[in-house]
Amino acid sequence: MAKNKLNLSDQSLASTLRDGILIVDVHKQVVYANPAACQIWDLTTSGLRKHPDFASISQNADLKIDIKAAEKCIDLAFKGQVSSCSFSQTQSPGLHYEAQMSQYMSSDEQQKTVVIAVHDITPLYLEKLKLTTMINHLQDGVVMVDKQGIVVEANTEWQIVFDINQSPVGLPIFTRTTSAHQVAFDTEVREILERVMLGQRSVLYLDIIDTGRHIQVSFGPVVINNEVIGAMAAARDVTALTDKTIEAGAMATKAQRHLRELSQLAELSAIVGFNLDSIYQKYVQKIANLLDSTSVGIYIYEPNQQLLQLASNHNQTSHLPSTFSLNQHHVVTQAFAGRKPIITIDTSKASLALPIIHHSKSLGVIIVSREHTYDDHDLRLLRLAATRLAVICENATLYNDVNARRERWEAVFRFTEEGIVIFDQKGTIVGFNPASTTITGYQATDAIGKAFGKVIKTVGPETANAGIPTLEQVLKTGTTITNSEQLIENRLGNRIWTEISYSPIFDDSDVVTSGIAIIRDTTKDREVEEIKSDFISIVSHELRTPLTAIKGFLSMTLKQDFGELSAKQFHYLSRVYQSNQRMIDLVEDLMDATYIESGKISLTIAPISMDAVVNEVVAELAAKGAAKQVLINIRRRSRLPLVLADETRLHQIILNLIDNAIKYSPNGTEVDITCKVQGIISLQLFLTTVWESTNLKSIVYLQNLAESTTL
Amino acid sequence: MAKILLVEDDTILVEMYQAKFELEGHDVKVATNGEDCLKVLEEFEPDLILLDILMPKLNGFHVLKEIKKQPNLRQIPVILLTNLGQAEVDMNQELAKALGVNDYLIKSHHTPDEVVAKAVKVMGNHRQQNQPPSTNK
Repeated sequence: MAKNKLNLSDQSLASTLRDGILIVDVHKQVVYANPAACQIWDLTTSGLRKHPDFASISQNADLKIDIKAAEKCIDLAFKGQVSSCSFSQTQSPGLHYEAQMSQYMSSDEQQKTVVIAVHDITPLYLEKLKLTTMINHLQDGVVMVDKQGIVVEANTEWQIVFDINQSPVGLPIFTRTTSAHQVAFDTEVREILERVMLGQRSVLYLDIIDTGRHIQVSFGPVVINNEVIGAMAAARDVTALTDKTIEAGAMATKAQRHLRELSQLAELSAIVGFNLDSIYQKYVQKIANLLDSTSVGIYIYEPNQQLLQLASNHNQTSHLPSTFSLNQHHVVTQAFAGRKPIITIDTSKASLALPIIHHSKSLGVIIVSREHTYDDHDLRLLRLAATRLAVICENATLYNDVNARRERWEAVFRFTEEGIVIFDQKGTIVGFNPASTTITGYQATDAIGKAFGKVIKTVGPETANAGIPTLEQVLKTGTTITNSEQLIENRLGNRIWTEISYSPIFDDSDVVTSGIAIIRDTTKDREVEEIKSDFISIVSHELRTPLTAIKGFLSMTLKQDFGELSAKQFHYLSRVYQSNQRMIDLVEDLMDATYIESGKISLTIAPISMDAVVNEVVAELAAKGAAKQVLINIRRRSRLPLVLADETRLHQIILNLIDNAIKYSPNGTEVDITCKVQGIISLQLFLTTVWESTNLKSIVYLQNLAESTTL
Repeated sequence: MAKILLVEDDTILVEMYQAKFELEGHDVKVATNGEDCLKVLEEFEPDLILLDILMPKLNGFHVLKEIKKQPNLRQIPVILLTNLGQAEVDMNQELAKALGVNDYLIKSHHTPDEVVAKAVKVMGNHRQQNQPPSTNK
């Protein structure tokens, strides 16, 4: 029964009202509808009179409406709760409406009704639709939460991002996520929300552990009229990014590691020196760091004992044996022999044995161990270290060799009794051994840096060896001069006889770089010589006297001064006389030889004509020869050259030779003198005579003198 | 014939030379060392002095110097006798010449009669030198 309880004065209001007003009774039958509502529900006045129910009119009105939900709202309204639902037109213009149901008591309070106030929310709806579309097109999952953190709106992407099946709307943010998966947050959600509600933007990260995904959620406040009414949260899957970051991080770590290794290798290279023990120790430490190994050992091969000797080790865990013999079965010997690295792995550790190779020769082995295995990179590193070590070992060996040689030389230099003086190209002394100090009286510190001639001062007249050699001769022409006798004056002014040998020092390209003089103090030698020759002189002299007596008495006896002799007596006494004469001559030679060698004879060297000398001598001895009817013939092939000799001595020699020839030639024979030049520096006189021994003696005599007079 | 002063320390050689010279008819006086020599010369004026060099106490050269100092002895010709080696002789020859020695003989080189011959020669030369050409002996 439709009773128009509304005031007629409200009719015009009702008709101008754009909002639709429907009133339904407890049976959900429409009791009143204003013109707007009629329009919405497509109701006619006549239709109204029939009091249709809400459900049917909604159905008929070609509206998109959830009738059940609407009826529920009406029921709630009858219970006194205001509720609302929304619906829209299916046909154009497609308007959207919001219906609010609330209880309405009629004026006479006899009927309970519900007023359904319908408001056109199309513009709002469209805006909302726009926003929703926008949000749904975002790749990020977006939610809007209220001040309590409850999700009021969410886009579909949010579910995809968080891999959840249900909408998060109506629950505190992340609830659906945390219930579906194992999640780790980098910051507490509560903290974030607090911040955001204060107006701050924030970001949090969460890891979905079971799927291995990383989500970044950015929060921003929603401010309306300067008041934060809620927040917007945008979630993004950053797993890929994170992976890349991790990868980059790993690469950075790797790069850092390489940098560290490089610097460690550089440190290895910086280890130089020749003290092998300390070098091995340092290497062992560095290798332990470089290869992160708990055990490092360096074995070096000792060829003398045919053993691999542990030179140094760094051990935190295991104990390395101190030697390996080559036939022992072990990685170390295998690596050494095979000249290849070997990696072994057992339950507790991994080991790498690498041979130290230099010029294809194994010098030793480095063995390292640690818990985790060694890869190619480790192998490369160790090889670098081993190569460097090999070079150092070689260098140290060479250095030690050179050093040993130098030490031997030093020993000779220091302890020999002969003075060793080393001079440079300018003739300045650069080396002066202790023996030189003993001889010259100059300390090495005084001598070094001075000119050779100032320290080794040669004085005195020319000795038997004519021509004192100079340093220039040695340095410029590279000749070696041995045993040149020189009288030198020492620092105190004392004169000392010496024998000095000079030798040039050549470099690799045969250029004279310096020279060395070896000085022998011949004082003692000379003393001995003098004693010897004095002895010989004395003895010879003593011998002469009895020989003279024998000669004299024999001569007188043979002259028959003491009475007549028989022919036999005469003959045999003559033989005695001759023998005695030989003795006299021998003694004479001995005397002279001694004299010459001792250098007591001084020679005046000048160019002499051999021809003249020979002629002179022959003239001198002509009478002697005539007395024995011995003919002296000079046979000359060509002119004899000028020779450098002491005239007196030369004359003496040739006189002796020819005199002897005459003496020992039987009467009536001939002495032939043949003069020949043989070679540049030697001259030989051949004397043909019966007495062979004469020749020998004579030539020897000549030779002696020729040697001491340089031509 | 001539008066010879023989200064020689070796007795055997003295015997030898004395024998020879006396055989040849000369008068020989002997001194066995330098001091004796000078002593003898105080009373004996020889025609020739045969002087050995190596003698004990005073050697031949010293004696020679002494002799040459004295005006009455200076004139007497001297032959130096020695058994030193040729080399030493050569070294000493200068000195000998400077001191005015007439000859210098190595004993072992000459037989006694050679020595006598030399002595005679020296004495002959000396006489010739010291006598005007018109006078002869």
